[in-house]
Amino acid sequence: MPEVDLIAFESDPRSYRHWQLEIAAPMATVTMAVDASGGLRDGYELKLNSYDLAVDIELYDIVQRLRFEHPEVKVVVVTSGLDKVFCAGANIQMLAASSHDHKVNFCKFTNETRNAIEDAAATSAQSWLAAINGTAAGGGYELALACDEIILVDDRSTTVSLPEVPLLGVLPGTGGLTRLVDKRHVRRDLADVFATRSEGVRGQQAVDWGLVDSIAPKTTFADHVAARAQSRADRSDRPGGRGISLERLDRHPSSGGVRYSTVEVTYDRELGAAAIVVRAR
Amino acid sequence: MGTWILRTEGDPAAVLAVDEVLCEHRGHWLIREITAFWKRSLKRLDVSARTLVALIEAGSCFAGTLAELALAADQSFILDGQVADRDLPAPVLVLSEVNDGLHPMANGLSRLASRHWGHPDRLDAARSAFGKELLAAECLDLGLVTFARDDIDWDDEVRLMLEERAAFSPDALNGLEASLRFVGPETTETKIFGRLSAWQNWIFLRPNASGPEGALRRYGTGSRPVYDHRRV
Repeated sequence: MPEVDLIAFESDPRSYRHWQLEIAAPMATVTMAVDASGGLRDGYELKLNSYDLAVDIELYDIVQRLRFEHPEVKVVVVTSGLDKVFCAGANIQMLAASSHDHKVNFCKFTNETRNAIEDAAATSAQSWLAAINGTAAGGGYELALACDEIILVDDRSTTVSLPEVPLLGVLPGTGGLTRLVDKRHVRRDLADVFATRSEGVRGQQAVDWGLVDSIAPKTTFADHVAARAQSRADRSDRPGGRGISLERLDRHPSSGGVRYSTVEVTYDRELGAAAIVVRAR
Repeated sequence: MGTWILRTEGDPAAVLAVDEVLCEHRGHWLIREITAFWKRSLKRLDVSARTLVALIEAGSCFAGTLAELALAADQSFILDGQVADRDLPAPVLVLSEVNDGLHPMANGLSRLASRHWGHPDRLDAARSAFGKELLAAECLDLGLVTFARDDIDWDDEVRLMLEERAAFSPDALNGLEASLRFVGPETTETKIFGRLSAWQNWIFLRPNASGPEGALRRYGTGSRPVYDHRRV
């Protein structure tokens, strides 16, 4: 079997390199400010808030912690810490250099993170609001699509776009196409125009097409976002108070498998099978 | 590791007692989170590109929430009777109300309802067995397991199945399992993991995206991609 580098999926707020988490109950602000040199592998730079798996592992961790550790948080605002850019989506150099397996599993993981964001509103009364304060392209707009509400800054230049088909010959595959028509009920012909127009859509047209929920000029953007967040928080039944802390898993890997406190995995390399035992004590 | 063998160890009654707490305090924020986390973890099994085989053996606790592991499996085996020279009772599967919608799949249905899709009578029969300790024969009758084998045949039969599985094309198995696991209605989630991801993963393999002149490779180089314009 070829040797592969194991990817560590655990993270915690002390080790975040790409996100800032700020809590001011009932609101949490999740700010994306990707460290360009903090990618999972060498050979690409995560410019313009583009992301790879390392960035998404942290986001996944944030989603879990907000749910379990912060019952006082009723609404989560995701925004960008960069000037003029919200998020440029998955890093293209990373995708171009990755094996097929890695691309497939990267997409599966990022899809699951976005599903978990949607699940937070559906089952935990913790809704997510995207405050798009700069260009949101591809996976950047798809991240917003996973939120319950999208607010776009109206400054004559900031756009939302899905440029994958025209520029990259692939799909907005992190839920983008599906959520446009299934979740946001964007008319299919407009969705087709949107997904084939690399320059994207801005301002009132983005509202008219259903791509975003509202727009606000730069001067009143923060106030508008705060008001929308408060209105969502008012409708949440999360109780406040103290949460529980998600401790690091007690994980013991070995050449023959991996053991946790209640789950043990044993590899049978000859059979290509992993036996997973769940123990109820 | 193309196959994940799902086993459990413990007291079924203890699992059911935990489930009772989950149900009784459904409205409590933390219980809601724990249940939702179980739901998502089980959904991740459903979308895994691995063969899932559940082995219901002596000493196991496939009850309530942990019975979802057996229902998530592509094929399942239950030991029929006891193991010679061991003191453990014959294994059982125990279903309860939690198997009736607390942990929905991406299609919005429970694993039990997905299993008996199109057969409401069978679903009702399974429901009427909630709370009962179901031995091998009853599990077979209710369509809850694939095979029941006694102690004498167990090791050989399980090994044979795993060896056969390992000999198949892993790509074909991915397609087979993903197609059979999700019956019935589509949701945003099934479309994302089925339709959108499947197309994307195919596109990723095509030269138009990933070939030396493909768009992913040419992006940012200043030269335009060269496409094979035939529609497939």
